[in-house]
Amino acid sequence: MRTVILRSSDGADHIVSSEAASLSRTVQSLLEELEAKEGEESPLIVPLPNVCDCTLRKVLQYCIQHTEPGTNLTGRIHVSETRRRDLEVWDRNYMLVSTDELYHLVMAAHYLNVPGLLELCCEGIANLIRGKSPQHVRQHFGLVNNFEKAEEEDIRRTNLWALVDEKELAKK
Amino acid sequence: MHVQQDVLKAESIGEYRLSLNKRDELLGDPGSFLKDLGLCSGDLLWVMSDSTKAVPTPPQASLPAGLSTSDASPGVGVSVMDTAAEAQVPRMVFSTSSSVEALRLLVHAALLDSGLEPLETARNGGAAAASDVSELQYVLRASPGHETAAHRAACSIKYVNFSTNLVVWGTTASKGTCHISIAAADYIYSQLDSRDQSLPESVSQPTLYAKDISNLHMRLKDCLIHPILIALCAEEGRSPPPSFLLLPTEIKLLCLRHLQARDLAALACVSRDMRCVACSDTVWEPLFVAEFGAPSPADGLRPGTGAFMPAFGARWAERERRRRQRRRMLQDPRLPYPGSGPHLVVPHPYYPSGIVGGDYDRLPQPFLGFSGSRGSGSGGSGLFRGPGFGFSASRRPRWSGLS
Repeated sequence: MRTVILRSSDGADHIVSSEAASLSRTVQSLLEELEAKEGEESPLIVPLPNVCDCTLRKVLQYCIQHTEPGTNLTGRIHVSETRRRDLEVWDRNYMLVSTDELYHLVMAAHYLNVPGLLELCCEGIANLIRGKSPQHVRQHFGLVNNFEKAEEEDIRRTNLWALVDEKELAKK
Repeated sequence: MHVQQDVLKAESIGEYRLSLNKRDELLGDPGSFLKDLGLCSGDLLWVMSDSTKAVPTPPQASLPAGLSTSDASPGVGVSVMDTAAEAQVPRMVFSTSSSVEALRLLVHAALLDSGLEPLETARNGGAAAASDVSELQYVLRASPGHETAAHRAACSIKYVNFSTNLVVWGTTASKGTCHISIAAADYIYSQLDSRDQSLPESVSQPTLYAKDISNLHMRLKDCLIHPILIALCAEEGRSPPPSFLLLPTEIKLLCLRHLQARDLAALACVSRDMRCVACSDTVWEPLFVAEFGAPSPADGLRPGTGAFMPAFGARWAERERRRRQRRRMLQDPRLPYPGSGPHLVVPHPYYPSGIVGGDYDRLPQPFLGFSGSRGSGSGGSGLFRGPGFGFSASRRPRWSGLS
């Protein structure tokens, strides 16, 4: 297994296996280009100017975790089943990050094109929004209500079906 | 004060670098003295070891007691954090003996970590450190890419001790106040240091350790620091910290795919920018199809016209109205319910009583025997009294008074 050096925007190098690095499709295509250009033996250094060091570290944690082969060798189906459950638990714990880290992470996942991680992050962001009233969302995301009065009336009337029950729920 | 022996208390932690901001390395030999490195009390010191893999034993960091609060700004000592262990189990050791004091250091470290720095003028002696209430002013750290604004927006952070809890209030000029309450027992635990036990004079104080720092950082950032940062950046006219609206549109849409219709509708009422994203057909069309099936051509719904959200709302409201109506009909006994049940049978005016019309008059006499229970007197005991007829007769006595 070859190793690859990923260089973050602030110049820190991370050494990972090419298998883990290939989880990112951006890196994978870059690697293929590099291999074609420079041959098999030269060290593969992939510069990633859009990702900072701590975010890249977090992304690589995900990549390494998701490429490690299962240690249990009793049977293939059994392994994949338990491993899948383990990974789900691991993913849940992995997502316990603060909001701004989550945004950095989703940008990195988008740039590096890691489909699983992108999906995971989007779900995490959706969880931040879920179940909040418009006022609550404004407060939580630091947004300003920049509707004009007529506009707001209009959009509220269109979506009254969703807002009415909310009030009833709040009363209970 | 020797760095490697006194501060880090570690003989061999391999290669490590010291930094004040997690990025730029401190110049000078890491094995030298604190004074030589230009460190003073109030600085947050990061111990960085370069590796993505796990460090077998994270270096333990602690501070000598004499340094922390003697000439410090209120409640702030040199805190040492280890970035390599951050990913696994962050550990931190404190110089203070009070757990709330240690918690205060942690909050300060989190504030520094997210780009705020204490204002110099706020350092008004160590008198406030001992009291239960202390206040510190923080400003945004000047970034090299951004020329320093003439007006530096400041926020004041107020630390209040309540026995074993710490309540932190953050106040900004434009945004008002937000607060968070932290229980020391959740994040600080004390343990007798094995090294200290060998020395009789230092046994008296158990060493404090931090646990679950990532969780604390998460709570702090979401409840306290993020709102403050947004407000401060807005006041200074800087570009705001990363937020949902600044993500590229395709990521926003990917996120909204995970939401349900009710949340999306609420989101559309937040602000203009949100409405642009939350009304788009790419998120509403799958929801519409899942809820009401594929739209027929008669509905006139074409993707890309932005008509799916209003259509969804109209259909949903209509369905809710019908549901409510049905429920009311089921619950209200006064309204007739068109279902199976005993219907009123009007007796025929010319037939003998007990014969109600329909096919009854074509049946032979013995079949009518079952209805003798009504006392009509027409054929008392029938020969062919079957169970089926018996059953139907037993349902009828309610109306026998009418016939």
